[in-house]
Amino acid sequence: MASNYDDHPLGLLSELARRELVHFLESVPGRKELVVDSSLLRPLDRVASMSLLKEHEVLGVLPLRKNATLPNTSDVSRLYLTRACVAMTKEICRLICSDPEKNKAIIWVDRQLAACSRELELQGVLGTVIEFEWALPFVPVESDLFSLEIPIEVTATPTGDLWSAANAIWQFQSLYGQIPTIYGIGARADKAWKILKRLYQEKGEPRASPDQPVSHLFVVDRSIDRASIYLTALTYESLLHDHFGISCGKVTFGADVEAKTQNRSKEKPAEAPEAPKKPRLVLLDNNDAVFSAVRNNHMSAVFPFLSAKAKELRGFYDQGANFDKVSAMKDYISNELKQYKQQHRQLEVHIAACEVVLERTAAEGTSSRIELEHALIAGVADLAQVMDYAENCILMDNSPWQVLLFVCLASVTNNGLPPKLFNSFKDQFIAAYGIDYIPPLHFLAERGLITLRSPLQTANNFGQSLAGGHGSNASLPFLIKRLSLAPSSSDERKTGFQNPQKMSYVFSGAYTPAICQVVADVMMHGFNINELKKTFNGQVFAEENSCVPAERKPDNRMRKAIMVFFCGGVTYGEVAALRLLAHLNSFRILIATTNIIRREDYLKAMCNVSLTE
Amino acid sequence: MAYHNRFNFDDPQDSYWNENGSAASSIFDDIRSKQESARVALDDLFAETPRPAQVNTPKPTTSTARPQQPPDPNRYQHGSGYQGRGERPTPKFMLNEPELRKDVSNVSIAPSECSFSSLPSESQQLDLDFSRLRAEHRKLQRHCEALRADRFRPPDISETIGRLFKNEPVSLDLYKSKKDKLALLDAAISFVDGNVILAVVIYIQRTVSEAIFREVLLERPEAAEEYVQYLKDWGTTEELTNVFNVMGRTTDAAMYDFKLAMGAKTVHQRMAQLKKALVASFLDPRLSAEQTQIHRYINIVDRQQQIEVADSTDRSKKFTDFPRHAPLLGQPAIHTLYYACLYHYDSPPTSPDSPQQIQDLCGLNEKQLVWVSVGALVKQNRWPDVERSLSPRGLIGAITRSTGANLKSNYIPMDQLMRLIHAESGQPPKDLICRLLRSLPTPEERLMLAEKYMATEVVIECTQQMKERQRLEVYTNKLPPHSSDHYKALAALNNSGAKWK
Repeated sequence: MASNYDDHPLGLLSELARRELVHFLESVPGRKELVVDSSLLRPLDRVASMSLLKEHEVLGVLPLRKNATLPNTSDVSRLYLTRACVAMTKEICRLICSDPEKNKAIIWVDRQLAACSRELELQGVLGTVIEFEWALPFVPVESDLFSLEIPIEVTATPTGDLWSAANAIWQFQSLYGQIPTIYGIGARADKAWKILKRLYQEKGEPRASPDQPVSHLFVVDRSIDRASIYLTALTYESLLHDHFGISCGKVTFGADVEAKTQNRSKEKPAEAPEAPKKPRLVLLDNNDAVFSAVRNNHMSAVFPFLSAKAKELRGFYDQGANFDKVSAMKDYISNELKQYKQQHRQLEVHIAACEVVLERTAAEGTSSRIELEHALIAGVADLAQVMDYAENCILMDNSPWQVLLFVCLASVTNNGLPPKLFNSFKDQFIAAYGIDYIPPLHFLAERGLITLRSPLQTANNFGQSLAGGHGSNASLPFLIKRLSLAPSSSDERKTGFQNPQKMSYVFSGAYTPAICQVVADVMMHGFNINELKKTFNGQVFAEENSCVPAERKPDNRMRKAIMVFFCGGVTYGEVAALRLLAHLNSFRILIATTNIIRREDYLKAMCNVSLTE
Repeated sequence: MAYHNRFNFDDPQDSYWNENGSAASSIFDDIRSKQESARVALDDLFAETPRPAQVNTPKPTTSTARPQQPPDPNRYQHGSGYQGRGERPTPKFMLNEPELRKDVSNVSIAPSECSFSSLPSESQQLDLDFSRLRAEHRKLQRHCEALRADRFRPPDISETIGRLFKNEPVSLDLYKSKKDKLALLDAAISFVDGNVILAVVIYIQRTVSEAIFREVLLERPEAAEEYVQYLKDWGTTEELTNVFNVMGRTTDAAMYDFKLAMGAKTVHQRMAQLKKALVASFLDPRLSAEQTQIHRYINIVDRQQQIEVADSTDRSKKFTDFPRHAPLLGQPAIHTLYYACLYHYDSPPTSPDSPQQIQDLCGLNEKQLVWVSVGALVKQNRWPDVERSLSPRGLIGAITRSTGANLKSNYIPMDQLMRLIHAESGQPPKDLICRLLRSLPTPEERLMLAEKYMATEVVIECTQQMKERQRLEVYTNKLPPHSSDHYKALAALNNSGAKWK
């Protein structure tokens, strides 16, 4: 294991899940087809390849969608693979009832839920199907990024994803040994930890192991820092995610990017103009040399890199024309040319994607948005001006969710909006986008994301968050001040996005993601539980399972990783910031999360709006 | 299940003649069996027992002692057990009988008085086995009866919740009393896990009256939260709004009522349901803003219906120039205003379909009106009207308009205005663009936008003002050669009167 640990980090987890799945497949004899909840298709692909499934007599994988009919195949058993949720269960019941003779089984991802088993019972399906539970482990999205890929609607519910999160940590510990030191911050982390304790009781406590690759685990509640979601992160990967939606490390660029790449390749006469084909799926990972170089770069540093790379490639091609000897030419073509060609293709895709991103951001007036965002974070923004910008966005018919994200930021940085601005914003928003948006606005207010400032508060009243009670999260202005997340002067901000030295580069120097800052502080100075309790309203715990006291700071000479588990999702901006932190301090940081947040989807989930609407 | 395991003859623990005989007594938790074993131990105290090492020697004492004992079958059995062993010794058995060992440790052992007469006969041996079996049987029977009785007694709450947590089958139906149910729910809440809480909540909901169930939810917000989530997933809005109302979350209830109303298929049904919802659930003072918004929407839809009826028969040119793609009915306020600006811009201000009337009806402000009307007018290429709507209203506006110098918009930032008037194949007159751009305060801003939108005159002015000849050169090279703009720019460059840096 130790030898291929670097190749397949946490590979045991996937291996175990794979074997478990094979066991389920084998327990249903004969040929079968797999009907998979569409949110699980890509995670499944990461764990078990199609060829593996074929080996075990799986004829095909079909997506499970609402009101879809499945082709009628006789003599083939059907296995449903789904997350336990009522909607999917209803769907499965419908399919099962339409063809009761078929041999079928349900594999519940993570576990069967009471609500689902009630639905099965009500539909009379219970007892006619074989049920399995398959605990999906951390899916490796990248060598340092692991996600449970839980749908965002589930992570937005109060307890929906806690068990899965706890179970994943339990699984990890049972395979790799107990993690010596564990820190937890936030209410959700605390709850997950309670469930984990129960799991210890019921399933057994993990043993300490000297091979444990992780020395410190942070369990962090996503909701302690929402600003990182509202702010526009300007790393390449993050922008790609915002605009195209990366899922499980894969992305489907829209038609505009496709068109751009095709235009370029039309210069070659050999390629016949093809009919519009299925959108191409691009794998984004470190095997893509171009992408791995720019993924964490600030957008301002991406184009210089890409053009330098293009020149470099040009040089290599030219070199090919200047060979005197045939043998050298032959050598060049057989060995290097292929590699260059590949890089050329990658470069083409990324330049096109970059251009589209820039076009879109220009059309939406993103540059003034970013300026205002930075002013808001720094606490120097004129709210009237901010809301004026929001109104302009509404009138330009920008995406309502982007407008809401911006206003959320304005609200949380000011502890709510003054009544006049709040009401006029609401009226204009509804006037432009329709009264269908009344419930979303209401739920945002309920969750405290866009709120009315109560008359007693003022924007500069930083201390009030402490009076906010034990259960509530610390307010953003308080956090910014306490953890010094915003730079003190503006000169400090503008330096070095090409070769960043500070985590705040992901937000152009305006803001350091709070969670990353906490991790960095612990790395530098150790875990000061009393200080952190003051910062996060007491919802902090530390646990030591070894003789090293939890307060001591991690030591990178131990060659062990630090794992940061985001309970409720992580953004690519934070991922980039943590990668920089790891790089600067020569630590290895593994990022684990329940899901990777796309900010529009996050807001929709907060508004109880289904993502397909 | 566990009980089955516990009482298995194969299990060495339970089988009486297996090694670990004493363990059985620990399993039989009832006092009686403990009492028995105590009695036996006591008897054995008096009976002189051999040391385990001496197992091979028979024990006459027990045989002689026995007749004096009262005819207690259990005791008999135990006593004879030793005798049996004495005859057919099994060292393993002896060693593992803790009761015996205890005796050994406590009692100083008298030298055994071996007597052959004490050896039991064959029939005695049978008798012995029989009584042992009978005792075993009784014990099992008692245990079985106890289990049978327990079958319908609720198991321990923590055990039940633990099984729920592990997703193992468990019956909750045995918790009949309200106290038990609440205890079960509290235990579930202490487990934090939503699934466990929900399982208990569903059970309670099924088995208690509605009033009690509501009370339970009110007292336990965690349980209520899970139940609400469950109802949301389930899609039963009616029950959901009920629960919200009971819990005092009337605003949430109103939202779900509203969502339900908006889900109606036709606009007419939607209107009817919205009106009903307004009366039924939007009474909370916290929802007054929403209430006015919905009222306004209902009014808009009414107006839209009137306009729709009138326009559907209208065959005038503008409807053929800009065919309507979607019905107006049900569109938001801004879209309605756009519609009015596009098709009814020239209607008298008192006509119900005029932009002014729509503006009043929807409670829209001046900014929205200007913005939308510019968009609609650009689409129709009505540039003078665009200019008019951009200029300030009233007398001062009229004066400045006539001079044409001070044209500016307070409502739309210039870059967006430029984008707006260049949208959708709009061909704005150069003159208008130049005048608009000249209204910008700083030459730098002016120049940037002028370059972008090819307002050559302004570019020339600004570059001259800022004395940036090079910038003008760059700009000139971008222009299509032999165009009038190109000549103008060249002329400006060649103008010896201008002072460049």
